[in-house]
Amino acid sequence: RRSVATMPPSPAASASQQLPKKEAEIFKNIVKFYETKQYKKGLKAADQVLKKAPNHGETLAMRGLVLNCLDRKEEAYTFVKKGLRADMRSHVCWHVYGLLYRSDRDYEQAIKSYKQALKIDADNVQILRDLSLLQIQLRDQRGFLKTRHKLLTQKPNNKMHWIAYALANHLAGFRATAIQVIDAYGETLNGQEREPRSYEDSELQLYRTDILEEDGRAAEALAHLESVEEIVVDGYGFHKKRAELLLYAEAGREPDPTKGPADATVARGAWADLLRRPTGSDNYHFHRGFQCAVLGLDGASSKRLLKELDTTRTPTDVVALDAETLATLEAAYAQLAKENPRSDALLWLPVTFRPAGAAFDKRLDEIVVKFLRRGAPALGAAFERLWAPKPGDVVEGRSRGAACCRAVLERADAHAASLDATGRFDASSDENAPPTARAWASYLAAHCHEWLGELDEAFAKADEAVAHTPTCVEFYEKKARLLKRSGRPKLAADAMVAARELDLADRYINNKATKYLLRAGDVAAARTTAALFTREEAGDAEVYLKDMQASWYELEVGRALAARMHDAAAAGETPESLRALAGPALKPLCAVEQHYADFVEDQFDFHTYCVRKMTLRAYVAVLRFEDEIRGHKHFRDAAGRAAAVYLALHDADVAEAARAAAARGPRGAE
Amino acid sequence: MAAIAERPPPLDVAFGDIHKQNIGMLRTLNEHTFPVRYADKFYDEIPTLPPDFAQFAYCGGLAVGAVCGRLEQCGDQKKLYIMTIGVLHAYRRRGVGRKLLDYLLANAATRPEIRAVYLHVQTSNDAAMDFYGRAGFEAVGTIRGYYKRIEPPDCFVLAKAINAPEGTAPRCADLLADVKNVEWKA
Repeated sequence: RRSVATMPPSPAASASQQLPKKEAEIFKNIVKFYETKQYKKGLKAADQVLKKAPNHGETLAMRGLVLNCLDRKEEAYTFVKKGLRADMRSHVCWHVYGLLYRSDRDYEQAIKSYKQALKIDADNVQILRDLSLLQIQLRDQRGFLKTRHKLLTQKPNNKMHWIAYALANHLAGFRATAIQVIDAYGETLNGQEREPRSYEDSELQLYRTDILEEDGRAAEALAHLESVEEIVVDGYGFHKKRAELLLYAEAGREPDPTKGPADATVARGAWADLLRRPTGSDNYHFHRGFQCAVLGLDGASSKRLLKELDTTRTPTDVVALDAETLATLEAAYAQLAKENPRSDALLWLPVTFRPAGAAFDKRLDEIVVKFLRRGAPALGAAFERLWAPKPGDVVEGRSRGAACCRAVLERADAHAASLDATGRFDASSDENAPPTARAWASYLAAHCHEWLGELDEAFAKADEAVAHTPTCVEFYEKKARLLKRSGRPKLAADAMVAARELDLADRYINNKATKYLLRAGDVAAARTTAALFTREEAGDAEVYLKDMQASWYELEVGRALAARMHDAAAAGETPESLRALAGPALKPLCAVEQHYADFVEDQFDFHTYCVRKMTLRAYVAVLRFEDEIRGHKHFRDAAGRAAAVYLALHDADVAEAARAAAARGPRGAE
Repeated sequence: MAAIAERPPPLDVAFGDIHKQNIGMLRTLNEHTFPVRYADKFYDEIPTLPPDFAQFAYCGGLAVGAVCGRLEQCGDQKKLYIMTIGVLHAYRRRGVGRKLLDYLLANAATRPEIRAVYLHVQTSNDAAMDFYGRAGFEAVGTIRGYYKRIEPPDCFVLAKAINAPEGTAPRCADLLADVKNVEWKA
């Protein structure tokens, strides 16, 4: 709802810009109709006024604004410009002009128009508000701060003005001021009837805590957080933040001999309690925090590791453990595992920090048996974390790299042999293993061989798995993948399509088949395959996939079509024929670029919404996410591939020109 | 003394419907469990069968067996024809086939108009004869040259009477009178 300033024209307007009483009333209605989206009525009203006052700038401008909402863009601009020419000194005209530019995503021009409007009516709250939205959209932090300050001084009774001003200070880096503003706002509420536990109060205080933390004042943040525990309604957020702040402030470290190893210090206990929540033990952020506490890392290291480590990486990957620390870690995890024996992560983690030796081997085998029994396709992928440590990781004394891969392979083969001979897992006396375990053992062995680059052996094991249980999609998927890796993309595509045909309702394997067909260069078949999962009412499948912003698909199609163009360029084809191939390749690649522009545009409505709803932590997170959004792999990929296409066309043009010049001979026509 | 091979304990099995989306899995199963190749027409019919008579058997989330049965009219009564029961080799001798057959028979028992269950078994297939024999089926006749591309080409007709009205004991051969080309056992 972008309401237009409803103040009457400024007194300095010339006589022709004054409306007789009747028309002035109708003008007010135009604005009302615009605000309530009754555009046809607005148009009628505007025409009524213009009959009597054909040169009334503001009516002309409003007519243009309404036309814009009816998607008649060219006429819209014509009328608004007419209106401006008629009444240059009207802030309404300038404001409307700004709204038009804004609707076309021309933010720079929109800001210029709003600033012009403000020159005429400097204290107009509506224009200031619209300007501030654009400023934050374009990340003009200083401008945003100035405008929000103005708005706050204009209307200090408006709660949102206070909140937005605090935000503006925070985003511009004036964190101490932001906190003062929040506290001052709190003062204005003193003495008013407040609900005891309101979402808004809770969010504001959590936001204040975050600002303190960002300002490096972890101890103050912790103290503040604990002081507002009664009013915070986001229990999960509270406990998570408290656990983090305990680490950053290096607080809660005194050992309590009455508690078990997992809760021996307050800091440890805070993280242990998070791990104890339902599904908490699967949360690797909690494991990272827990390990920082157990390892007794300092605040700066904890902060850095919690930020840098992602997926399933943990502090123990990068911190060497002496015997005592290892024992503490083992005891702490053992206690948690005892409390929660069904947790997969608690079983798994020790294998990531135990040194090479009997205890490591034992746990490795326990994991292999557990997941062969369950039938987990991702077992091999989980182990890859040990086989490929990152540079800087601690590997001394630990089973890592190819040696670790061979250890897993040995277990897979041992269990396969044992299952064949006795129907039981290797060195196990208990009840019979499910027959499926035999197939998954072959599958795991195939994964290991593939990782080691032993493709022939990998094929053999994959075939074993298929022969055992030919109804398992994953086994065919593995064969297809091996074919791809051995440089046979067409056979790989055939195999993946065969996998797909086992379960036509499985979207994952449909996507895989689509991708493999594209990698084999069969764009037509890929399109047909992808279309199987688009909604029939949506018409053209590719349009549907574009609406769904399916970047992975568009990238793969662009890659396949660009390959055709690059091949043609290498074969020396003419620039015309290259352009004919480049067009279809650029279309999906540019569609990806369009998605990212849309992602950036999408944040616009949240500038008002989040302040109104007080979801401040989430709002700041979104802004920061949007700041880096074009760093996403899909965007970089699409941009790079599109650029490569354009460069190839340029090179072809240059080569063509050179050829033409050479053909003209040394006395070339100048 | 040669001990009878100890049977491992029966497997936990879950059932699942057969439909157009997963019919490919049935094709694969059948290709790996039967010497006969079924035509596309066969697979077009399966998804139309009532789920009471056509199911996959799942073990550990993977389809390891299936049963497909078809109802046939016989005057004012019906008979149930078992088209296929198959279990992957690695999952045999764990009671999966028996569970599939019992599922079928239990569903047939709830429909009193079904009076007989019957099927064809290649004359050389001792394992199948044994399996159905234990479930109360008997060989009631032979069809010569039933199979076109495998040896031996002959099959037995196995049948079991079900839902017999109180006090009667109908002969299977009578219930299957309309099945063609059968040399009935005396």
